[in-house]
Amino acid sequence: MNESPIPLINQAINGDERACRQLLNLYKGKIFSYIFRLVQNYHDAEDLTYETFIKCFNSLNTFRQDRSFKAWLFTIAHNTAMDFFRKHRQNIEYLDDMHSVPDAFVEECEKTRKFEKLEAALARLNPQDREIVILFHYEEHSYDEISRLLDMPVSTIKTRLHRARLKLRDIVTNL
Amino acid sequence: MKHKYIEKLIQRQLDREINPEQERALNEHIADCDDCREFYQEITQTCLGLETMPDFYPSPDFDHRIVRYFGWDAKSAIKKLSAAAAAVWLTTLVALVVALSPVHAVNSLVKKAPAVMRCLQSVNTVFGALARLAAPFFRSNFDPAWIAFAAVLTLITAILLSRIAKREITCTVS
Repeated sequence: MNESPIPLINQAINGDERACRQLLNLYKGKIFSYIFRLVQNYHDAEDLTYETFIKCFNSLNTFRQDRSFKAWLFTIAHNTAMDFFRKHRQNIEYLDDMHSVPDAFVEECEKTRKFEKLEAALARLNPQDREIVILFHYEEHSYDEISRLLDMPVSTIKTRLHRARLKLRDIVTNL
Repeated sequence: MKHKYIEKLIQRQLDREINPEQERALNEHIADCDDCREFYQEITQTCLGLETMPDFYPSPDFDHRIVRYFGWDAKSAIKKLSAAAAAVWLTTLVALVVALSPVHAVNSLVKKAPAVMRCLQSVNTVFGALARLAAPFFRSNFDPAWIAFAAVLTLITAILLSRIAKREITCTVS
């Protein structure tokens, strides 16, 4: 993942299917995890990940190579997830109580109590705060990258992240 | 007030934006203050946990959905079938050229240009081996036995290559 995917992207643009498959294998875990933690449903997450990669491969030739491919792919994933929320008439700002119980899949997949607690705590966050936490701590994006991705000022992201950290800490310590 | 300031410093550290002076002040305070130390440990452990959470993966069928959408399986199968068809065509062509050539021309080719024969053999090892076995047929011109041999040879090659192609397609799809 640390190697530059640019050669792979160029091969994929030239129609090399093996390069496309390699890109898919490199990023499907990250994109699926990100979307799954946003929508909190395995099947929806899989459909949205599928849609993300279809859009990605269809518009690969529009990717500007002076930018981060990962950030570009996450932008597609974010927009796809937001479209999903809009289609289901859900306002991401006010979904606090929507998924207070994590999917059974989480319990099945998570090996340790620590991660179960964290997943449960994440699921209790407001989806937008959850997205910021995931992008900053799990995906290790910078504030500037998150600001571009979410189209939101850095100051707002910081405030939300600080609040979310405190809430997560409260939930985890009280679980 | 002091604790609020320390909380801000902790957030700055988690933001990766703390400077050395602030970090020193933070470390000195949490060494002395039990409440702040406990808070610091809880929040940093939570954030560390977030950084080390495992990835989730879609179902095994996920890749196949993408492959099917873009028709990569069909393209791959067509490519392999094209190679098999080209090989069959080439084998047939070579077999027919040799079969229909006058016997003295074939003898002359075998004697004077072994390199050509080697080249032909390298195109298809199986065909080369069978061609050497079939050398006696070269002596008779338009021998029906040789034409039958060429037809059988072509058929065998076609069957073998189609089986290989079929296996490749099955592997790609499954």
